[in-house]
Amino acid sequence: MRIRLVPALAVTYYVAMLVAVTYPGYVPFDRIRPFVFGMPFSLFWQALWISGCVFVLAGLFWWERRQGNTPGSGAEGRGASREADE
Amino acid sequence: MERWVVVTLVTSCYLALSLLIGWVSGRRASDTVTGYVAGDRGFGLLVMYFVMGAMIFSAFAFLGTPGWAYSRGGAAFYVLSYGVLGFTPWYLIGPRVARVGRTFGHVTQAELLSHRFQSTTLSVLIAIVSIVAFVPYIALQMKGAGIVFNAVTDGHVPIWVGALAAYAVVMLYVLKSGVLGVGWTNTFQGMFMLVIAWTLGLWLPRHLYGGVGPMFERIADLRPELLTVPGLDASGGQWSWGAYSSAVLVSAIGFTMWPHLFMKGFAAKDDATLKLTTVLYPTFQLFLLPLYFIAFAGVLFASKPPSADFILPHMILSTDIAPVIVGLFCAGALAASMSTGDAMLHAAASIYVQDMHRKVFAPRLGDHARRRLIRIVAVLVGIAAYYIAVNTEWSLVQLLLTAYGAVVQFAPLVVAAFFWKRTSPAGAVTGLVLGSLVTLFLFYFPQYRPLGIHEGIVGLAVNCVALVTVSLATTAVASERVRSFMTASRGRAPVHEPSQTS
Repeated sequence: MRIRLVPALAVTYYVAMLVAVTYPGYVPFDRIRPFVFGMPFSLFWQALWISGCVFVLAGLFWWERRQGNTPGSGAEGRGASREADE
Repeated sequence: MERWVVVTLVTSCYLALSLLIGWVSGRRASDTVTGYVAGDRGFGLLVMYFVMGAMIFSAFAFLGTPGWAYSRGGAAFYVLSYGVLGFTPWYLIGPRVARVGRTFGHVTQAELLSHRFQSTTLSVLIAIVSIVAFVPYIALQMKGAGIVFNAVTDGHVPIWVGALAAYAVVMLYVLKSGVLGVGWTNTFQGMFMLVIAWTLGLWLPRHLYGGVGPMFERIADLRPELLTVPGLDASGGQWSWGAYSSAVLVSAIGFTMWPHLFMKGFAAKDDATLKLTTVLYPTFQLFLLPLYFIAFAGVLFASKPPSADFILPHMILSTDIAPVIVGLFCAGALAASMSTGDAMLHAAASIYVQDMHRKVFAPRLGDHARRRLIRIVAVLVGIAAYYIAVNTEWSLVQLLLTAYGAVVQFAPLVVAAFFWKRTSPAGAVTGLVLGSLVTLFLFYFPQYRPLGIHEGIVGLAVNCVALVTVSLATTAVASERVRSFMTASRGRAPVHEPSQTS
């Protein structure tokens, strides 16, 4: 099976986020200072991952669109070609 | 004019506008069950974005989250991440749900699952779990609306009147316009509460402390324990990482399994709409930030509210704000409550008729009769929830977490439906039943929870094990049916085409 880079990165980001906002990934960043945009770092840390998610998903969507004419593998059902058709 | 009269007038204008939008929007729907329940599968990006966003942001977001942040500090941050973690998998599952729905004409979650697993029992079970989770939840939304109305009018509008006024409007547009009424009012209510939350969230800290930064600086000096995760537990002690992490996890998994949210997958116009909704969804989640700012503004506030859930209305009333702004705030909170309550009311009625009544009592019920029955049930559900709202006392967050525990049990079924051909009807039913029972047991006997882990997670583990072992020991669904389902989920014609992979 050929692993496609962009979807693999998106999945990696998702898993990384899951670890980063729960135990134990959150622990090192669970601190008050430095303040960022007036927020304590613990809060900014979450906002950062959430904002990043928009860009990663947008990248994935854009990538699927570009793949538009190549048939999806079916196994993961990314279905890029079918989106354009519908 | 007296302050509370102005507040009531502003709020009434908002209610009238909601009613107008809800009433008018239903005109385009066809006179069918698909029209009433899934909006003829024609929702575009704008409506999908606000439906998904506003539906989740309930009275709980507006009152419960600030209440938590106020009393338990960082513990409330869990709400921020689970929404995104829970919604992102929808990128993969949402389009599959929509395609299968288009192919086989499903409009509810149970229809899809019972079709896939060939089980009427499953359909009825899911319907029961959904409705049992919905009614108290709707009651909670009604109560939230009543509480806000009551607080901002200095007690001149009793809780029962406020709840009744808001939900009479909801009932009217749900009855008239079905899901289109829900969709377009949510769009209006969603925009409205975004504006209100950001305005108040930036203005209040500025007014009280000179800005968001200075406010957090002062809290860091005086109450530093509130600014880190996992925060405090209900009694003011340190909350555990296990409880915090499992709260994130159970909420994330349960999130997209909520039947009213799942059902909106059937309403989307096309796959791209669903995917783009998922892409943009985290931006809606950031809307919680101003609510945290407001909550933390309350931490050092001189006077205390009667209970933590009241911190937001309490502060707004104790600060010298123009009555019109107070009215707008009240309308914003009502918008949060109504945009969730309407979807749930509509979903509960649709689920009862499609997945239970039709399957058990009246298999031959026609399209027109079902549409009428859904409306009647919606009224009954509304009355039941209203009765509970006015007559019982509940804490907002506890109830939310409990409901999530039950709904989370749908997750293995949905994943298995799309990704594991071998799943058998018996396995699906056993998993759901055992998982729900374990969750229920641990909810009432918390001393048996391992490591303080959320009961829904333990239930989930039992659910998965049962689903797999029983499936392997019993006969799977006929391969022909599985193949047509899987093919449809990948967006190909559901005819007897040789399946390609997996």
